[in-house]
Amino acid sequence: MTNISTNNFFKNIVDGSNEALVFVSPNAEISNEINQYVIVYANKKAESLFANTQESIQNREIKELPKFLEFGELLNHLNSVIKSKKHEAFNFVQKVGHKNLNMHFKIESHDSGLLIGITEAKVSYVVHKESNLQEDDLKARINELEISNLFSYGVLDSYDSMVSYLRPIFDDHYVISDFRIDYINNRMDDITQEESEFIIGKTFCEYYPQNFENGVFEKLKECFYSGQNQDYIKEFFFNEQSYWLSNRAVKMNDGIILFSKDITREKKNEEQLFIQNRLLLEAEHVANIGSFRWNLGKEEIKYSENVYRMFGFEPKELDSKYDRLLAFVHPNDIDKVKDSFHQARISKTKTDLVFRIYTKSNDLKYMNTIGECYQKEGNRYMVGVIRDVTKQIEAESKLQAKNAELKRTNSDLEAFNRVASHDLQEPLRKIQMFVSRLFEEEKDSMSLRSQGYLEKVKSSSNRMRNLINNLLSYSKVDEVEEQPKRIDLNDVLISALDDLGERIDDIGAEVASDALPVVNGVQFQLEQLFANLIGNSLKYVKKETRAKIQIKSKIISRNEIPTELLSFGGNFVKLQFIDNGIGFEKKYEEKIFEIFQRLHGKNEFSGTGLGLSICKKIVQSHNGIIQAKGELDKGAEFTIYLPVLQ
Amino acid sequence: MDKLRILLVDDDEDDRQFFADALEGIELNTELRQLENGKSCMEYLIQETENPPDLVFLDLNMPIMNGFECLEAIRRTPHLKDILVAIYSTSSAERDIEETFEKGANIYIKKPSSFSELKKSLKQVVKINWAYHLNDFKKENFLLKI
Repeated sequence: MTNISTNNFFKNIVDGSNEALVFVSPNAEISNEINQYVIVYANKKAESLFANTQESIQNREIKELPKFLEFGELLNHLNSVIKSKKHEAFNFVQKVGHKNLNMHFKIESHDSGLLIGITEAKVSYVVHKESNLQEDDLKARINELEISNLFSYGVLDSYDSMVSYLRPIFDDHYVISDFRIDYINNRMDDITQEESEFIIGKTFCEYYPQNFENGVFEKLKECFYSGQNQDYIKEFFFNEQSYWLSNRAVKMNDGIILFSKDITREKKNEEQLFIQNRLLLEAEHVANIGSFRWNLGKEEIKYSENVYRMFGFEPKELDSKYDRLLAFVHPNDIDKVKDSFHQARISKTKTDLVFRIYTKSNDLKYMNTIGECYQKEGNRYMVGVIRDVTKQIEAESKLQAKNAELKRTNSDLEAFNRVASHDLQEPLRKIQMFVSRLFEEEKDSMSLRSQGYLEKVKSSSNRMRNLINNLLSYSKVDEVEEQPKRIDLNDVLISALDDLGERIDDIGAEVASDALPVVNGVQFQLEQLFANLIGNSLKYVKKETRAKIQIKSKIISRNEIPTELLSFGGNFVKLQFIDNGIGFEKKYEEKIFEIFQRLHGKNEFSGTGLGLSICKKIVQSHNGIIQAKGELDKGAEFTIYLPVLQ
Repeated sequence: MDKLRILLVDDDEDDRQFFADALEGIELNTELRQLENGKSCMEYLIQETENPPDLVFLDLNMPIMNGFECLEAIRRTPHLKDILVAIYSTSSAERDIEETFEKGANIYIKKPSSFSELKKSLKQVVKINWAYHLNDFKKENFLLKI
């Protein structure tokens, strides 16, 4: 071990360690029982920990060290390692100055002595993280490495980089065919949980076959033949996990020293950052958004790539003078833009404005920019986004035009309603009036035939009145002024049955209903809905069959709600109006709701062909849907889904 | 009490005829005057201070001065503000009915489409008029929709 102290390389490495290292050799001269250990070597850390003078602690006896108060205990440990040749580790509290330090001791047995490693237990984690020897420093020391020096292995294990010594294997033609791993420190353990012993002695090819495909082998060969250091960063896979190692190969005697540092985390962060930047750029591109950062002091502005594209340029095609892009602003908007930025600068408020620009190819575009000022390290900045809102603005103006058109159409419709309600009804009312007077005053003097004609006039004008009224209520479904309110459908049913009472009695119909829920709606419309549906059933009865109308009601679960209603949320009721009348063919299930759609001749059944169209409109305006199901001669079934109140 | 003086204001000649015939038909002691629009109605009512009508029937849709305007003018005129006004119109719009009541109408009659119905309505109104005058109802609360 005597050559240790002369070995500069070793000294440098060991001095760089954060572990206090002391190599002691036993002194058994006095008796068989060793009670004396001489310090052969102490690294810098150990010197600073134990020496209280400038004088080195080297060549002194451990016992003499003033701070080893618990010498007896330490002596026991040292003796025990000497005998057993097994490592020992233990903690004890050591008084250093006025402080109590929790020290961690490691004792290893070597040929001619014991290596004692001492760390402060509490800070060991931090120490470990920071004890990262710079590769540059290593470079200077590397030439002096005595690889056969067993002692240095222990030191190298305290590295957080992997260190290995590789010796070339030559084939019959003296060409390097592989490398043998003569040494590797225990850092590989962190990655593969393999102890150094399992790796040492293997060839490079055995240990990591891909080294021959990924260029590593070539690098090492190059290093060996040329004597030049080789640096490379490569991704390796151990246990199917990716590791990024930063490597330096250094020619050393008849082999190569390979330093490998695990930079997986840094690499991943870097990758993440890269991806995030990429994503941001992509997102800006897709969303037609650009961003900028304006250094207000330097009048310099940094645009993201997409800003250039939005203005019709290639990224970075323009310089970063802040007023460069102002040249593209529409002349009428320039003052507005300048004012707004000026305001934002002095009042430190947000700026948010829309302005027009002409792109490089002279297209007019609308831009919306939002910027905010902030201060950082004494500099004032404005950051913001620019958004191309041309499409929105165009869509808005289209919408406005459509709205105006709709208003016109609506007022046309209103005018039509007025005409229908007043101007059409007026002459009709008079016809009815005169007819009624004729019946009242002249009936006796009329022939039976004339009376018959007059009957026809009367029924025709009644039909016409019904038609006008139905048309009016159809066109008015959407424009009720009444606010929807809580409506109990049981009340609605009662008043609808009230209206139809006479007809129900006439044909002796049987009406049965479940208890009905409460909905949000317009009373008179719901009454009309019920009256129309029940009225239909009363109208289309089968001959010689007692008319039966059944009304079923059920609050349905979420998965029973028709898909077109799912967006409304809340609970729905399923109402079914089922009769045993003449029904209708299945093919009319949709058609039946169309306006003026009649399935029967006027002579068979009275009606205007508007009843079910009105029903559909009323249900729709109550956020529901109505469906029809029919079978000829078997009856009709109308199903209504309506949102219910809790 | 003398004859019940009734004033009908309607631009439609047929309707006036129906009205007159129906009034005659119900054989109550009435006297009918007919005018064609709101303006002539107001001119008549302002100069006729001695024997104002007991009951005014107002059509709504009339030229020159319509029923709404005429109703407002009547209620603005001090000596007419308590006169019983019945609106007599084809409109059954809830909006029109409410508006006329707000403007001071007492009765609203939708013009019927049969002659017997008209006679029934008129009989009812005339009877109510007697009650109105005899019992001195709180006039502003006296509303009726037929």
